Amino acid sequence: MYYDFYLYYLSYLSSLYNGYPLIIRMTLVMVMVLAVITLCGILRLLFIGYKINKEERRKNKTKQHFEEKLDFVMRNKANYDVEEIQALLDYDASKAKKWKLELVTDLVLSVKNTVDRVSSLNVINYKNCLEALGLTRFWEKRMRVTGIDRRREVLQIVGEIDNGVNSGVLSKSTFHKDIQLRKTARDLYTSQDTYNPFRFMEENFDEAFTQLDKLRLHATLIKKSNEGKLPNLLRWINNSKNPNYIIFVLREIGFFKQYEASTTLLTLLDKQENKDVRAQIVITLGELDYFECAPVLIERFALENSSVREAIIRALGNLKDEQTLTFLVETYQSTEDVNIKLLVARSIKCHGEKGQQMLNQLKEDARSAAKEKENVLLDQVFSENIFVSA
Amino acid sequence: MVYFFTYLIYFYATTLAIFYIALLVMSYFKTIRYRYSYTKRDENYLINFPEEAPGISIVAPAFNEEVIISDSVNSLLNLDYPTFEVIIVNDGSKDRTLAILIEEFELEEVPYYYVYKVYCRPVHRILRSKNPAYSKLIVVDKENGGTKADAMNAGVNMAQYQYFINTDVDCILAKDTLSKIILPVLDSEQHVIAVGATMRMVNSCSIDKGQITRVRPPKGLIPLFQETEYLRSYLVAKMGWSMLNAIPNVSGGFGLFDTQVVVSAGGFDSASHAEDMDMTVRMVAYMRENRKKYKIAQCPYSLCWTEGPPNIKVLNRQRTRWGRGMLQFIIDHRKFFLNKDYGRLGFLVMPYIVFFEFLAPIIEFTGFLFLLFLLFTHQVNFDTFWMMLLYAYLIGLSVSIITVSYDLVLNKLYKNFWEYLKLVLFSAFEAIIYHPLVVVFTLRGYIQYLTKRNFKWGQMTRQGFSPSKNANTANNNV
Repeated sequence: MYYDFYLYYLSYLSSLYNGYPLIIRMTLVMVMVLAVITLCGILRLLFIGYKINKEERRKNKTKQHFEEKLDFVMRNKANYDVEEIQALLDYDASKAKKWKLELVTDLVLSVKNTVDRVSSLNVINYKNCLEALGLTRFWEKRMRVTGIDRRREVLQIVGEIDNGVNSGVLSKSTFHKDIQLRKTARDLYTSQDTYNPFRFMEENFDEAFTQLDKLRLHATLIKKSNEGKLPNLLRWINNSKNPNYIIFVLREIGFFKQYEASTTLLTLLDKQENKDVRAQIVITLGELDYFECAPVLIERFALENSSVREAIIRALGNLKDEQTLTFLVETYQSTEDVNIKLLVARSIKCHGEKGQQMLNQLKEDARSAAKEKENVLLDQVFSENIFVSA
Repeated sequence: MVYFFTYLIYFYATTLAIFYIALLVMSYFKTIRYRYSYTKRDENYLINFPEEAPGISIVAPAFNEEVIISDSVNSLLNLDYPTFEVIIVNDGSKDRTLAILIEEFELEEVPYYYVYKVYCRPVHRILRSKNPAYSKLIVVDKENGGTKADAMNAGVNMAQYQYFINTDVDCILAKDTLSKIILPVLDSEQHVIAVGATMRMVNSCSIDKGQITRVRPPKGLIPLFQETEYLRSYLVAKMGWSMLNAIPNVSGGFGLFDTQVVVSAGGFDSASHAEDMDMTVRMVAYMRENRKKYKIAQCPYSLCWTEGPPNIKVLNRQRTRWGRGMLQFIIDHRKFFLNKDYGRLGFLVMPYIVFFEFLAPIIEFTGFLFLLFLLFTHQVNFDTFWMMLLYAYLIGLSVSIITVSYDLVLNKLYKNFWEYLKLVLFSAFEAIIYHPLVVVFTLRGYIQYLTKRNFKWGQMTRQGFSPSKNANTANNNV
């Protein structure tokens, strides 16, 4: 619209510097670019400030209107219908704007988490609240948004709402080329699907599997185990070649105490070539109190590399019997490696009263042989009882 | 000659401007991506499922810190994270630092088989508390080594977890620091060897029981300028570099490091005056030499508040030390410069450090002298002079303004919006008031290093965190 106007002043400006060298004219352009950046920066700052203040005002208003009522409904032992809740909240979901529904969701989740923490949450009322406020429909619709980062955020909110998910809508994201979005969608699927929730767990979950994924999936598996018994997790290892994923599954087997996996785990020890996987198998066997594996572990000790050896020492600390204690004492006496000595001494201490007696004996030996350093090391292990460690 | 030098300065400024614009763009995308990648939910997972949260050791050396030690340790012990330990290294303090620690935290000497994995001055004893409330606290009492690096090494030898945080006792960490700083480590397919985060000034913030209750921009002029300078350095430069996995330096005030890599690289160098940059580069070199893939990440959130120099005198000491450190670093690590075996370190990080960090004060100062010469000999063309001056001025101002807007988008820490505008307003004067001082002090550091004068660690008057203790000040190391 003002094209001619701008062109006129641009021509005027360039005519001023017409006779000057190229470098001066280039600088002029740079100065103008930087001036525009500076101006836009100031305007952007003012706009962001305005937006934040507006959002804060809206947040406070929403909180004032809903918080107490939501808290009352979610805490109440009596069940309320959707209509009753709508009347109580004095709210028409059909007319609500997008920002309002986002703020209400935040508030509902915050009240839910607080109630869940301090008293018992009425799940029926919570779900009816979601229905009365039109949140389930709203977020399902939002799951179709195109922006990757935004969609990922939406999926996380849907997971936090924890009220089921439409697998059809989700499938668009579970095979998306963006790794983060895909993994979030698969985690949500595992957490919310009721028909075949462990589909992705059986398929190696994802090729890019990080520690954060382990953490998120661990939370999902705990949720699933609270809803019902988990399947034998060992079967997920068979289809996987990703050591990180295998290690995760092995850890979960130990955490959920799936004792039925013990025998197979011992046979896996021979097949696995990856040392980290072997170390985790050993630790899991220890956590599962599988005493039958002790002779095998003792036999393998001399052949294994240092990380598996350390795992064996830790596992033998859990498997408390005469044979493992004798082995640990022998290992302590035969090794010169301080780190191994410390680990072994701690494992001996795990053997209760007998272990304590053995440590006393070792300490006596060290004193009589004037082994000053060993004395300090054993004193350190003894004092770990008294001084609580982090 | 006149033409050559004029053009040299001009193209130097232009290249710097282009670099900064590129960093602004990269940091913008990186920051936005970061913001969406990790939510409060992920942080809560770490707290709710402690069995999955990796342990973190916090190592903080203390030398003559009696004014702040108690508040500082309480602040560190109260962080929101399930598995961590706080290792305070008493570096042969001559005041009551150790006595205060022993009294307040009910410490007793414990038998400990101390292994010197990396070199440090002899450790006298290890102290711990029987009180479960302080179970996470470990105090290493050692002979004074004269440098932070030596004390850090003593703490690294003691650290039991895979990652440790390098910080100072005069720093206050946000309560959610540990869960925020560990997330980039957990979310990476590559081995993360270090993570940095944004630091800012604690000078005018309100603090209660070692926790910041109200964040304010500093009232003093020098720390206020430094606040903007820090934001620029962390939110633009380091965030931008992190996109290329080429962060030149993880700050010594606050940074997360992989314990094993630090030990394998030989630990902190006690002889270095820039031990943080030195350590970062040696870690990268170690990974390259062993053909291991690595990543250095940057967290844009403000996680650490530190006391900034309250006056020109202290700023002089700080920047002179940094100047000495910079020159020493370049001389010590010259073999990496344009060395193909070190990849990005050789062809990107080192040239950037040499041309835009080391040479900047020299070029700026000689440029100023040259301008005086031109003015004296009437060789200045005033038709274009003002435009050139405006050009140089706008480079800094535009970057500062955008940086403040990035900070506001990430997290509104100041309660009042006008406090952000204060930062913007004062950044307009930074190039006139603050920057010339920094240039002069840095050059002084270069000269000190070249003339091999005896270096003294700068003294800084501690204000103390608790209002009641503000009256008692003591002279301590910066």
